[in-house]
Amino acid sequence: MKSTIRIALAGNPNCGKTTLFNALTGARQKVGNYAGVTVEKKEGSLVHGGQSIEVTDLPGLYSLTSYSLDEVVARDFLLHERPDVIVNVVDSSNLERNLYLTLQFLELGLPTVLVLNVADQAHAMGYRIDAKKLGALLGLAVVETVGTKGKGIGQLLDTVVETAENGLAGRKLSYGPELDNALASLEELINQDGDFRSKFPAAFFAAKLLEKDSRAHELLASHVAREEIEARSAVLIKQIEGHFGRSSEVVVSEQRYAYLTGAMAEAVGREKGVSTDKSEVLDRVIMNRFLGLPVFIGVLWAIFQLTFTLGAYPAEWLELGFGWLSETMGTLLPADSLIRSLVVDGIIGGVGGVFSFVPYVVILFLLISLMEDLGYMSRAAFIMDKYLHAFGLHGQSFLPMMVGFGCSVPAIMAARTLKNPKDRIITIMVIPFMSCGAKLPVHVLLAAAFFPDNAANMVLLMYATGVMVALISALVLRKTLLKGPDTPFVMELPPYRLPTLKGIGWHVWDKTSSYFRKAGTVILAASILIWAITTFPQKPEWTPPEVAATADTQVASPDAVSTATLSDLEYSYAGQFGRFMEPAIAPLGFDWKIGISVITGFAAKEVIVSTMGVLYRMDGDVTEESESLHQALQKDPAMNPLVALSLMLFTLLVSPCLAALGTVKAELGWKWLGFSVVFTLGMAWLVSFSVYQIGLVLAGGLS
Amino acid sequence: MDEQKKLAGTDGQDGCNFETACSLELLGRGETFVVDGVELGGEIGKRLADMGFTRGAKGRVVRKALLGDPIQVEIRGYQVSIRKSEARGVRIKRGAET
Repeated sequence: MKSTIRIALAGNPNCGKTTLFNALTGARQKVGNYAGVTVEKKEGSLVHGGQSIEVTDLPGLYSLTSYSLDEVVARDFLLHERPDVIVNVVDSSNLERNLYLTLQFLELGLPTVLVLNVADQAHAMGYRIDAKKLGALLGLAVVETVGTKGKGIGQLLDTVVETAENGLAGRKLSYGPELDNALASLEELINQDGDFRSKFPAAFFAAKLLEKDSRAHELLASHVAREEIEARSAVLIKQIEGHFGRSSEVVVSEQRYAYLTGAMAEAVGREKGVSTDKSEVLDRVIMNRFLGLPVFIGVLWAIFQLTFTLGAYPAEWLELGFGWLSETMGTLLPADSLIRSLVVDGIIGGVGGVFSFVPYVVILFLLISLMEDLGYMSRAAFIMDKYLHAFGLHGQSFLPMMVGFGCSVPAIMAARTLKNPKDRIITIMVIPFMSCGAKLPVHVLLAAAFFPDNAANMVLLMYATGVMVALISALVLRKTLLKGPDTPFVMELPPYRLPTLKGIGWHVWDKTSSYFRKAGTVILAASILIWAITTFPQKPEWTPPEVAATADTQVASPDAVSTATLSDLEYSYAGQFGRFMEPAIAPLGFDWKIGISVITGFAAKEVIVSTMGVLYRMDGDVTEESESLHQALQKDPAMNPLVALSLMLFTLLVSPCLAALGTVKAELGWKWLGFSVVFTLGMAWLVSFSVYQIGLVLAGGLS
Repeated sequence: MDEQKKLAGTDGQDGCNFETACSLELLGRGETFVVDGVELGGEIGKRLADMGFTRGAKGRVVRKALLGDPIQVEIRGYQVSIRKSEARGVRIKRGAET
């Protein structure tokens, strides 16, 4: 008996793998990433009959090519980590295509247990699967389970332990004489290098070479007979293509399916006259040519209504809680001390402000994962693909972009559903242009103050502008930096399935906890940083207002009483920086006060409003509805409707908050983070500049 | 009606029937087919083949989106969405009992 059996859970997307993983490992899971990439790696452990078992949940995949990141990650794991057993979960109601992946596991030569999942559904659909026969044909052990009900788990684990001890029964797969000969000839060459043979399975490599797989060629670099192998595979590929009249990589797929069709005919029977597709009834409405789009818009509308209506209650409780905490800490810590200011204004103010968004994020994720599990998301992508494709985006980009209306952090994370790196980068680069929830207070404040008759329309205009800029940017990026052939839009439309409560709970917990981990740490750091640059350096000593006013002749405000507050900020790094950058923002119509507000907005966009509150000498809590801030803004000679419009546009388009930037860094690395900052800053500056300057000319022409 | 003629599966006007292969793109809603082979190589061709568009596979065009693109296809008993440009690369023979 081995001390620990390492198993890898693998299978197609939508095969019920995750449900099985949760049923197997329960709460003993940890979620991380595969080294260097953002593909999620889930691990868990359990003990079965005294045998400890470690489980790794591989990403869902259809094949082991090197086109998608998920597939590369999965096959590298299988090749280099060599788990003791692959537990291959298949959807029994869609057996043929699911088994296609199984064949590639067998090519790998790793002990494999086949799990016929949702066996009850397949039976209801009229499939009669002879599990024993199927196992004998493929040369592996077969277990039937119903993942959602936890049926068959014990038997599965018994089989896993057995297989780990006995290894793969093994059965020579046959892909037809032409391919078999070619494979055998390559295997013979590959096996000449004993060192290579001990590390990598020859059968798998031979097949990959005929599939023109780029990574197989890379790994071959360490082989002694590399050149000979390359030469022979080139000759064989030519022969195969001549014989079949199609490219060799397609022929390999064809022959695998041909083998499966034979096996299926022997092991699977079909009862006639059973309705196979209940989903079609729903699809007639949801996927209807004319109803599809309205239904989709309705679903989106409902998701946002539910999120923001339901989320408002817990968000308010959290705000109250943080308010109480802030007051309590305020009385506990010495008044006017730096530590009190740091804890109350910096940490609690900053982190608390962001954490009150958590309810929205949780509810949004809950609804989205519900839609995903139900099978609606791929249908929505089907409906949206044509329109998004026109702008160089993928049908699946719509979801992250829509989430971007709520918050960029989960939106950027949601872009993981895009399997092609370029599609994913483009989507993440344009998400910041979607007007997130935190920008709303800024829009509302400025629209109400300067466009009182058209406030709602102005806010709507910001949302529309954001979407337009996002789409146009996507197109430009696609045509320039991220050029590339279209990625396949070959997307499965899984049957509608009612998700289990437990499954949804897992999903939400998963996403929420990573939101906490990622955003929480960054927000904390950012809050302290912003606090520091607005606090330090402190003025050496408090000076009487008259002296301060004379010493600081540049202060615009004639109001001597408030000069002390104003100068504090102005004296700080943020204030100095505001002054320093004034030449850069003057063409946009901004003075240094707006400059500081925008800088502090990097902590979180709502902070722009509260900074303005401080700058415009407001006491206590400033909200977008506070009447007096409106008046203060209106009275400021430096502000007018044109500046307000320019500022709204700038806020809309400028780099997102630090939490979102931290997420971009985590997903794509420093290079793309840098690009994102430059790109959004440049876009914001250009748009505001154009609007302000054109506005000035128009205004000049009128007067 | 044009739709019905196509459903009969013997429409010879586009030179495409159960004997002469043509592109999957030409098929209308509800039409059945047998795959002859994927003409494309590279990533798209390989993906289509991996997903079951291989010689002998039976399928049906279930529906098309509003602008005729993408297309929902039933292949090997499951539902998949592909773009028109991808369907163009799949050679099929029209008409098959499913």
